[in-house]
Amino acid sequence: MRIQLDLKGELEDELSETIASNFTVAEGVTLEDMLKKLPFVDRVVLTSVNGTVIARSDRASLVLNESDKVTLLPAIKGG
Amino acid sequence: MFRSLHIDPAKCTGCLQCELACSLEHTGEFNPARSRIRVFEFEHGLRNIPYTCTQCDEAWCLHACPVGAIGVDTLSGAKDVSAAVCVGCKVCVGACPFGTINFNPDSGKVDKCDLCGGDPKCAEVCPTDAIIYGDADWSGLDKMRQSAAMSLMGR
Amino acid sequence: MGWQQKVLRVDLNAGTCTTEPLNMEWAAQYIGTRGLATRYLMENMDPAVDALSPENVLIFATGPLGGTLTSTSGRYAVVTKGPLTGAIACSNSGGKFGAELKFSGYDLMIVTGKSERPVYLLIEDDEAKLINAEDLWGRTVWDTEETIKARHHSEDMKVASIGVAGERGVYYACIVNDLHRAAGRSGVGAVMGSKNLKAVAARGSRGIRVKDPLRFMKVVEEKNQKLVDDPGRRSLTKSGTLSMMNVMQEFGGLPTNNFRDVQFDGVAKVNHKAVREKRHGHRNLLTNKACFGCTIACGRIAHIDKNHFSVVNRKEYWHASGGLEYETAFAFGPVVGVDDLDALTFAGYMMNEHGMDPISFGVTLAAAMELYELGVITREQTDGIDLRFGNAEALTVMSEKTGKYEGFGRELALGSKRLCEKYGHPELAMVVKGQEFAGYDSRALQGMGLGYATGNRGACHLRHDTFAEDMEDVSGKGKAQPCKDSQDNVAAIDSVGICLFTASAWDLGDLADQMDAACEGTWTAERLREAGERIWNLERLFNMKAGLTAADDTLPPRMLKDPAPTGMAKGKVNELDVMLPEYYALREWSVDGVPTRALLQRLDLEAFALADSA
Repeated sequence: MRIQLDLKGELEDELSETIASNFTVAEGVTLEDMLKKLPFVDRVVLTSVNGTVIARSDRASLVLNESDKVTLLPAIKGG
Repeated sequence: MFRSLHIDPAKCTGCLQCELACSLEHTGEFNPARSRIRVFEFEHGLRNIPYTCTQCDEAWCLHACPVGAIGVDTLSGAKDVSAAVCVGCKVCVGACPFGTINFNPDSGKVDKCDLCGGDPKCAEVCPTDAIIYGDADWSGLDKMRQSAAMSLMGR
Repeated sequence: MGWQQKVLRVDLNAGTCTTEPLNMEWAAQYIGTRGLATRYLMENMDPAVDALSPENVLIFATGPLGGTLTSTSGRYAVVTKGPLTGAIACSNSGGKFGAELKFSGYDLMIVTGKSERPVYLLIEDDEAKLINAEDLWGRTVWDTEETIKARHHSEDMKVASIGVAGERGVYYACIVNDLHRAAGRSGVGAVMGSKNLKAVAARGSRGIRVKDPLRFMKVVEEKNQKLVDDPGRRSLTKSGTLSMMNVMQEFGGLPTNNFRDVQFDGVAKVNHKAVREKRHGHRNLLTNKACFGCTIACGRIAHIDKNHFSVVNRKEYWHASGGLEYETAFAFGPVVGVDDLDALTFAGYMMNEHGMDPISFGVTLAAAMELYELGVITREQTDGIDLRFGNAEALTVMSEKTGKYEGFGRELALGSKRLCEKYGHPELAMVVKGQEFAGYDSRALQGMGLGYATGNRGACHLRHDTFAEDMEDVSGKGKAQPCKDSQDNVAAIDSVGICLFTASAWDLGDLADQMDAACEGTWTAERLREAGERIWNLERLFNMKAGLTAADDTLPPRMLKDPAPTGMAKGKVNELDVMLPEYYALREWSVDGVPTRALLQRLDLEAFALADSA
């Protein structure tokens, strides 16, 4: 099924917008499973699904649904 | 294979790492004022252009030198100043059309790019590949490729 | 090695320039730039004097790794007492001037007194002299830089100067070098102006030696590779700091309309994508540009659309120049509600040309806009300009008027704190110790709030790094420790003479390796950390001797009482009351924020103990 990955800041450089907005995952996959597949998972600090922040501890129990919007924020540095 | 420095100003960010590396190699100190490659900044920083000796085949400096201090390094092809012979008369400075050979008040001799004996440090440290040390025979190859591509577009 | 081991002392009262050896004991303890200059400042002035009086001392300082092949080695710091804050000012700049100052043979330049007439300082290797600058007084930074270079027939000369803003005492005037790099914050440019010092021009050919050149080059190569591989570095090269705009918008920490809101509707028009988009045939961003020795090159070079109202018929602004980074974009965009990219870029040009801090200017304009909305300031006072949030013309006109010290610009020159006090609404000034907030809301980023509140130069985002902790959890919990630790680390990074943005890839160990190969003695991460802690505490002691107290470690009521309206921190205020006592304890300070004697002993700072140090 397709979900929409919404990458912010430096993470935007990791995937093209076309790929990110048509990201496919298997049915029943959790947020944690999906994150593990991303090579830049270490830099993801904050996750939200359809605008609701998902705490680190809840990532393993949250099952993704078709066309969910998953927003990922990196830790940022000064400037 | 003869190699030469290829400089692409479009890639230069003006960081001056080349000047630092050059001065360290030749003076043992970090001292851009003594670097033999220089980066010039134009238009409020929009353009940054590294420039150094192009190692002319019939080098003006070499022919102008009255004491024969400038020779050719057989390995790199660089026109090289022998400090032991140079008398610091600066005739070569006047002869060079590009300004890339200069008097060094610290040593009383002239300095120019010697390609670091075939391992130019400027190219080694350049973070953006604006300076690379590549095949001298084909220094125009990239431009030639671009021209070829343009002729294709015209069709 | 590393250091040039020489100090230039400029006495403007007497009109003399003399040199003295660098105090190497202090260098061993305070490293360079920020730290070493603070130590010299303590020795040379009474912190209680008026910042704009001749008794204030102005120090330009480089660091031991400055001017070497260590990446970002071109930094210098200006350390003095800040007129905006009445606290220690320490403003750091890149470009090429700092390295040139060091190549001219000096680690530090100490300026004392006040010149009777405007002068500029010319440093050519070991020769330094003061030259009459009456003809330069009243001229812009850009004009001054060009004129001085032409006069001395030297394009290689590097110039740091002030514009009219610095001459006329705009409270947040800065010192600009190399056309668009600035020692930006706390009004260091106004101090220079108060001394009648228009510019410092340097050219040098005194090389810098390192202890072990072969090892140094090997270490530098390894560390540079680490930077090359770092994704944070990649992002800085590609998008500058501007990519943070979208992150802050999503998180709900993007200060909007004088910090009333935390998300900005117009964000897509002023973010890192907008500067690349072609609109009306014009693309804002042209290229990126490095400071001296920098392999990151986060600097932006941009240009303004010739048809934009700010520059139409003004050809002198059609050239390329310094473009928007995150802080300038926030300060001319969201916080004043403006989403006109060319107007933002124009305001940036004005800051550089006239010498002003964009953060303080933007946040001051935002406060003025809120006062205007309340009807406290009226259109009669604003030279007929409609000072409402979102009006791009208000931004462009006022940035120029303030830079030239004209009309309502003279009011904006006061800074938020003085402006809001004058008009009876001190609560609208988004400041700590009189210095304006940077582009991060401290209800959303709680540790940032603690960093602002305890910042030795007032509110500042470049004195600590709690971003990761702040984004993990929106509360005051667990923020004091990373705030304290990162404050110490940043003080060390600043003091070796390099740029904070290397911290994306380098820790103190990476710096220690480079220091150890370049400088006398043995350098470890722990030694750097301890020096950082020493520096932080010495800055604190300067402030307390200047009359600041724990009461100044606070945030404006908007952050402590008004809940964030939207975003991740919706409904929350900053929990400073939780964080501050924990922070004082971690710092080994009393409940009144005074460093304890035991701490001062450990850091070899007993000589500076306050009367009430317990």
